[in-house]
Amino acid sequence: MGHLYPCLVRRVGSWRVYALCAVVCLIITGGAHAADVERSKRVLTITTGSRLAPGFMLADRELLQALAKATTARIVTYAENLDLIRFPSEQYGQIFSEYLSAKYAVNPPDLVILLFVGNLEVPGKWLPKLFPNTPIIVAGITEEEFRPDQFGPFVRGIAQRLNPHANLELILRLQPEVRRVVVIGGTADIDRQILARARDAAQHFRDKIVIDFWEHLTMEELHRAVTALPRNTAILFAAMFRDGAGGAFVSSQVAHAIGQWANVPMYAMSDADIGSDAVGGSVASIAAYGKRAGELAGLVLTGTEVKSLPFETSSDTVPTFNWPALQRWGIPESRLPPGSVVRNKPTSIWAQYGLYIMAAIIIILSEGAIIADLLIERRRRHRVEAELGENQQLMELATSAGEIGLWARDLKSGTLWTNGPLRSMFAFRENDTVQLSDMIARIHPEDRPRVVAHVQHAQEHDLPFEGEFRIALADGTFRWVLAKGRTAHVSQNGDVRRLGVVLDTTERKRVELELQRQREELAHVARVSTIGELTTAVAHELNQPLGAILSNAEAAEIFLMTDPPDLEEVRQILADIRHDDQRAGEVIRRMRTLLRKQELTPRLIDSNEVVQEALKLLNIDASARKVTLQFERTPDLPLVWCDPVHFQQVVLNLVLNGMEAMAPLPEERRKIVVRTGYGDTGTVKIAVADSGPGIPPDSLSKLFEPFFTTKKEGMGMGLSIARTIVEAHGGQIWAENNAGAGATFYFTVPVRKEASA
Amino acid sequence: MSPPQPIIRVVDDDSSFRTAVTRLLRAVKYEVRGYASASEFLKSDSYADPGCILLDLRMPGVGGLDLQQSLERMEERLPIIFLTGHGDIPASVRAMKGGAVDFLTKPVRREALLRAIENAIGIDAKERSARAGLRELHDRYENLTPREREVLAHIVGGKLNKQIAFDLGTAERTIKAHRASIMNKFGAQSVAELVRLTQKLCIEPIR
Repeated sequence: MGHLYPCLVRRVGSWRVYALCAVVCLIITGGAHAADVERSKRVLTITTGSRLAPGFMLADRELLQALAKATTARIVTYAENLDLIRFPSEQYGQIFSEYLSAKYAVNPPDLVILLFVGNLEVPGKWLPKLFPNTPIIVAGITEEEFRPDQFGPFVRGIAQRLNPHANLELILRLQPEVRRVVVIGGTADIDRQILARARDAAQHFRDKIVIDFWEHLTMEELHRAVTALPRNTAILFAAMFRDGAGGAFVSSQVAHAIGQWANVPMYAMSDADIGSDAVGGSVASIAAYGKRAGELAGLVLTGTEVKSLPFETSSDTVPTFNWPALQRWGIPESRLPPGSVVRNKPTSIWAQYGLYIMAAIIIILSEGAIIADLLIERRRRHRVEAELGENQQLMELATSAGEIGLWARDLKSGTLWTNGPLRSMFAFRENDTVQLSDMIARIHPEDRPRVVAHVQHAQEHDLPFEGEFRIALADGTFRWVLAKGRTAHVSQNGDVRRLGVVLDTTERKRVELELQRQREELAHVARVSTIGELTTAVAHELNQPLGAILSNAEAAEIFLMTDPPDLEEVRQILADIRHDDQRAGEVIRRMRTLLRKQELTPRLIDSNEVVQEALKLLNIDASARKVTLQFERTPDLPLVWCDPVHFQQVVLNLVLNGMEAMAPLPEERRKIVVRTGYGDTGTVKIAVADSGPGIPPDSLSKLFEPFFTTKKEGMGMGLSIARTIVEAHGGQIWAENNAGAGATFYFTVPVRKEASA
Repeated sequence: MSPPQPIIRVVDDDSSFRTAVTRLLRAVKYEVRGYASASEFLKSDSYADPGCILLDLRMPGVGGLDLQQSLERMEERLPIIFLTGHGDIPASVRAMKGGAVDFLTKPVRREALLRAIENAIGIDAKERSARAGLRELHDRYENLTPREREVLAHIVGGKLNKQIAFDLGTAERTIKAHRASIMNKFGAQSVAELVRLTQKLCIEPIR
């Protein structure tokens, strides 16, 4: 801030006075010629200070209004602005004077009004010489500056009287916590006069606060001092045209600087000193001075001799404040006295339209609340609806997609409720009213007695019901369904209901049958391939009797040709032929049984018999492979419920498997023992033990998987098929390594499994 | 003495087939011996009797091919006709390589069977006479003195009496006497005939 001092220093040279005199003379000479010309009155208003300073506009308006009110004469107004406060250079003042002289040389003003908004000190020196003999009205200048001795005879006006008392009161009002007020003044005459007035006023506040007067400080000292004031202190700026060191200053500029430096709020007594940094002060109203200046000008223009007018002073003040400074020091607006003028308040939308905004906000908020409430309500309703709808939809979806028939029957009233899928499942029309009897009537006649009995039993004993049965359709076909039902006790009224679901299992049945068919197909293919492996044995088995038959027949021919024919021999031959034919037929039958592709049906069979039959087929092969095939039967085993062809197929597969496993062994060690015996509860167990290399432990679990094979030429289906067959009969199949050499395959078949309903 | 009747050996575990074939062959006046297994045949049969074997390829225990191998090592080799319910190629190849004269499949027609049997019997007769001639040569050779066998080896080597006498360090006359004795013992009219006869004996010639 140090750079500020040079610009504040003013050295007014004497040249300007002479220059102004010359200008004034020129104007007066020119003005003499035009004096008697009938013309409108020309009024020149010169404002000093910033043309844009607060209050100027107001002052202008008041001035013009007062002027217009005072005279009917045509008035031409000219306005000039001399901003000496911000541009205190000598050159500016000089050029301004020359400019005025030149500008108004032809049409000099009839009246000049000087409106001051700052402490200037200077104008009085040159003012009378500016337009000599032209009445000049001065307004706004302080009483102390307005020295009549300085102005010529044509200068009159109104001065302001600073009011320290009102300002001290104002300080205490705004800041009740303040205990000390520092009054800053200077060493110029004006400064001292103003300070003297402040001292007088301070007398009245002695018992309340401490009031110090800083009047001899240099600018630098002042700068330091105001930045380190204790709390609860306030500054009241009086005036400072000259500091303690004798430096000349523009008082309002000093006020501006102090306002920026101070660490406590600063108050000022003159409008010009408030500027933008003081909190404010009780100051003369510029508007009031404008008005009074206008009135006085009106008087002069209407013929009143300016000399006859008094020098007026006014001590009327208006509390005036800077809104930013109030904010800076945290002084609430509520403390401002009524009628205060607050300047620089940002004309925020809020300030201008606060009420409207508030109202709008309230409306918006309340509407928003209503809307939000409605939305929440709506959403909640939607969610509940959605959940209900979803449940319902899920139910509908599930029941229709899954074609789940639902029914509920009240046991008291006997009323039956059914859903759409159930009605269509039982081949009712959508609108038919369905009774239990109607439903029963649709059950396939073969299944009906069983189902009815089952349902009645379940209902009487309060048991769940489950059953699969057929529904006879009009076209003679039928539909398989699975029905499940249970009792539900409705707690409130003690009603008892039977509830149930019905599923259409026709497709499942079809798939099951298809699976069964495929399984049989697979088993058949496997058998064919197994028999393919047995081809040699089979051919041998078959050709043996055929060979015998042929040779016998040929021998018989010979015997018949002898004379006499050996009929006895021929009869013997024929008997043998019949026997061999039966043998061959038996082999063919055995083969055909295995090769036959027909629906296989389980029946009660003797496992020993079936194993024996299988071994007959295997014997030849075993001899060709140099395998000793041994059968150890446990006599009198219970009959098992099994398809004999399937049973044989398993034995064939297991024995062939064992024989192949032993191929690398020396012949004398190739041995397979087939044993029948008792398995776990209710089963017969068949074991096929070989003396081969055994099964690698990691393969034991994979043995029965399809396509698992250790053979070079195997398909890996034999054991898999065996498992499929065994499991389809409700048995189990597994393999174990023997304690000695080789492995044993076991399978079980349930004893006398009853046919399921 | 008429030559001994050829005997057909039927080795088959299937009794009814064995019976049927036996019956047929006897009807056409063959002498037949039936055996239920190879081991039974080996135990009981007198191989010296001419004839052939009708052998089943597949039998429990010792099979047809095994029996063929066993017989191969014997001096009296009976021709074998294989008879099988189902003749697969590897087995038939093995059988033929092993010297089987025929490989027939059951059921076999009489013509085919009898043709095979006639053929086998013929082969057997030829082999038997060949074996008998050789055996006689061996006997004759056995009758030679050690010195005569020495001289024979020289003769087979194509040497003159003088050379042989020189080689053996004896007189030419002595060699002449040996040669005459050898010729006499083999019943040969000329040296050329002697050489032809002794070729079958595989005498190592001294050159």
